[in-house]
Amino acid sequence: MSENKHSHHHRHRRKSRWRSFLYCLMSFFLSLTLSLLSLCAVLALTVFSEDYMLKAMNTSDYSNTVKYELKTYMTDLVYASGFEESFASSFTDSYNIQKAIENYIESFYGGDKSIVDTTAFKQQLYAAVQNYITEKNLDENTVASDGITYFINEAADIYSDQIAIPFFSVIGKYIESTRTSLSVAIGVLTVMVLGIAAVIFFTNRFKHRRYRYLCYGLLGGALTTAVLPTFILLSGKIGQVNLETRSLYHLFVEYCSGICYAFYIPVFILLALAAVTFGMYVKYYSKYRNANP
Amino acid sequence: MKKAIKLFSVGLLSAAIAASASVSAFAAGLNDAEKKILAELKTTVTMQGVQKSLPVSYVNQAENYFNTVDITDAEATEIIKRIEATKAYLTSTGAPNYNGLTDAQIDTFVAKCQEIVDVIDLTISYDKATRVVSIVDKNGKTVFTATVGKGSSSGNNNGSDNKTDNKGNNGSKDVINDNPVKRTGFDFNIPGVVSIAGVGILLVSAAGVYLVSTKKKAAVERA
Amino acid sequence: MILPIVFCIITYLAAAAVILPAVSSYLAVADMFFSDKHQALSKEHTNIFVPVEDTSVPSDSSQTPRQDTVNISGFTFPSYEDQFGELMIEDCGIKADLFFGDSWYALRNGVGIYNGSAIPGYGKTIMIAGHNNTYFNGLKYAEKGQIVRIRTNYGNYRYEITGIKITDNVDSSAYDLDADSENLILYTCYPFDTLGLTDQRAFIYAKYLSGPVIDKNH
Repeated sequence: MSENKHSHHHRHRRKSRWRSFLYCLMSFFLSLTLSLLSLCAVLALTVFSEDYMLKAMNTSDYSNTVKYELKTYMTDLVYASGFEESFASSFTDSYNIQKAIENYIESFYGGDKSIVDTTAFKQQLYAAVQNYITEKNLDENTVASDGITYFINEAADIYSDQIAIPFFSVIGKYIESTRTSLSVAIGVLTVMVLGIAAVIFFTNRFKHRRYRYLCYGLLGGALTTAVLPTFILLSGKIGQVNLETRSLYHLFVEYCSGICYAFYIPVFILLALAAVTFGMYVKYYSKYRNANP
Repeated sequence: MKKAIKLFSVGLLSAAIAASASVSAFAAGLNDAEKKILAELKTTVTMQGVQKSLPVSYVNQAENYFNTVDITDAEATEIIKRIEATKAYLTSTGAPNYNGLTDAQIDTFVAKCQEIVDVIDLTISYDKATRVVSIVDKNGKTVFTATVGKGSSSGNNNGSDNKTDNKGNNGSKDVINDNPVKRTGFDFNIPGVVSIAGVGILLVSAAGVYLVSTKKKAAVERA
Repeated sequence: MILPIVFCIITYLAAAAVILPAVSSYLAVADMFFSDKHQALSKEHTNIFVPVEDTSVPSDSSQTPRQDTVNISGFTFPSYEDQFGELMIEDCGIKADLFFGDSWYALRNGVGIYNGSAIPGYGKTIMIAGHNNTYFNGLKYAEKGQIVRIRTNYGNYRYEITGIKITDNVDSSAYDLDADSENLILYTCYPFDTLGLTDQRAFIYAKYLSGPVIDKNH
């Protein structure tokens, strides 16, 4: 009699261990899918978003810095081309860099090849040069028309280099082709998360256990999502990038740290949900304890 | 395995290796180790039976840099070993020149170049508007500079004429030039010497330091 | 409550196993783009130029080459973008700060030695660039026989202009960076005082007259 009872007890325990392992596994998958979902959501909100880029540009004062740099490099060009130094600043000051950058970004996220349109720039520069010649009353002999064309083309090259973001055209292809798969991934992951959560929730006899495993999954997801950006931010690597162009450096730092910070949005949502499930767990656990002293 | 260890440190322990720069502050001229590396840089690599060498201006840059630091014997031995390995690899590809390498071969080549400069902990820095790529050591000393020529990395398509760069390439590649003459200021009609794939900037330094056509071919022919 | 941490670790290990082999080479290369320090974007150069007194140069005869030496360990060898001297051609009214390296920055502030050439006294080709509308505008007055003086943090040098050549900027025969004797090349855009860019360069060649030879072994 006693032996029989013992073996029954044993079997029961083995079964229960097997079951808890299964639920752990499920909450692990919940944690995994949640962190993947967070990753995809963050990517969609940042890398794939035109607004995010424009915001990063605003925060890092990109267009003003670009304007300043363009002025510097135009001054060099002007030095090499026989103009007075003031010509460079008078021209760059009047040119609408902000608009040009916005057009560039728009064409990029619009799926066009990110090409800087230099037509307007060239026209305005040509007019400015003509003005300069008239104003200074320059002799035909001292103006080399080939040299002026050369100068304008070269200035346009510098200009487009300043407006363009290196590797953007390379990345652009990938962004375009991944955009749809990212939406699909977000959809699939959401379904998976809900599915796993539903299985954990509805197959558990005891309410406190439902919440316990959900809580594990949520906490795991939050932790996994938080580790990478925290590590990157703490390492300070972003600020150590070797970009000598001030505008690009600040944009890069702003853009990348922004992505890292964006990870904390899902982290906090997950933590809040985990707190709720934990509360429910405590509530039902004490009920269960009271019912089964 | 070694790579895995390195990656681990790069990816997860970068904070810990932050303090590892250890080039001595005072350096007197060229020591034997540095002379050995310079001699190695002056050797040629054979591609399809043609001897190719670094432009002397690149070797000079290395020499000027070595005058400001001290390289140890151990580092030199390692660097030379890796240069030899890279050269052997280039010869073994059977390609006529850098442009003849397949993408996979370029990847391998770049990885090998990276191993060379890894010995003395060099980093690459990039200036957007001037398109100057520099190799900088961890103390901020410039080792090498080169200008990345006109490619389409920035997508400029403004129809400016008389550009002779990038001849024989598909137009989606950047070029590096070894023509030191600047537009006093800088230079415009740059002859392409080495062209590099889309990930351009990364490769430039490594490729630029290492692989250029023969001197004859360099400036004159392409211009 | 240890479970979430275990989940996290397992996830990262799995990610590392899956992703690292694919991106490892890129990661390693990408690491080269990051230095150990935060970028100091404020652009200020190091000035290591402390003039050396001209006690040893004979004042009368400029034709007597002097062959004193200076030990390479005895001075600070210039690094890239260091200002380490000045260049003067009195006959042309040129006086400019001399930088090591001919970056835009250097040319904005003076004239620059190409860092793929050599510094004065090193016994090789010295190639110096400057803008034709600023520091090297005076080169339009350059003539054979004029004296170029370069003062550095380790010694003072004199060179004599031997020739002028106008050529294309891609003409690599205009200079020989592999030369094994000291020679000076100054170059700037040509023509002078013309509006517009040009492919032409004026190369001014000068031979070594005096100044300490760098002893590379001490």
